[in-house]
Amino acid sequence: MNVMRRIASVILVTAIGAVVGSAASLSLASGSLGAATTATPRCTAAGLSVIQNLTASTVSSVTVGVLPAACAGATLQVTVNNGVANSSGSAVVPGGGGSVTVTIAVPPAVTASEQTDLVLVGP
Amino acid sequence: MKRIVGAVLAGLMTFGLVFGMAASLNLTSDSLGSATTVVAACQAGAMNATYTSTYTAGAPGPGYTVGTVTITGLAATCYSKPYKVTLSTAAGASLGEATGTTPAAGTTIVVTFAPVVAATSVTAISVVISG
Repeated sequence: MNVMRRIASVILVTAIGAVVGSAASLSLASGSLGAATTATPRCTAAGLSVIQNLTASTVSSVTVGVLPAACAGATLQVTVNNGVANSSGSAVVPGGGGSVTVTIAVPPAVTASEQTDLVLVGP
Repeated sequence: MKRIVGAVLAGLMTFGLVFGMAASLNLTSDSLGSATTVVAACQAGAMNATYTSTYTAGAPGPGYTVGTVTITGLAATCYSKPYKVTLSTAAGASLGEATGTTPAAGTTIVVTFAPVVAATSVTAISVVISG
């Protein structure tokens, strides 16, 4: 009987030892990790009218029209590139949208074809 | 008496065999431990990205490009941590990626993209801050 009790005691102590050993075996900490993705929206997807205004034989300004109210407050940047030189200008779209005339800093000469690029940034 | 002795011997032999079989297995185990902890963001407050566009006559132009993205709303809990900012298309394709470390003061991160990215293609921005 005593032998059985001793064996049972040894088994019990061993089992407890194993459980305690497992529970304390790992320590885990973590640094922070945050991520997000958001869309870069457009204030309009509709077509805009673009008219080059000429002074003598240069493009002195560009009028951009059909701007919706959603673009109010945005900065309109326009660049005219005649293949040899390019020049830019910018203006803020007024409340309610409409049309904006942007003065080109250094009017490029009119050629057979000029490329006009524009971008609306913000608000 | 002989029968009793015989029975005892037979019993001992039987138990001996059983113990022998029980002792014949050799089992070892690799370690196994587990733990769980929370992975949290360094701030819960909203951040906002604004773009600086510049006309680029060369590639990827001619056209307007984005070379700088300014992210505002940084909290002090996110100071001096590695970040990654990605500009992507509507299809999720990366247009450019910029990495750096958030500043140790202020609320603004100024992110520079080199090479610059075509503004017309940018439809999403992703930010991750770790550490």
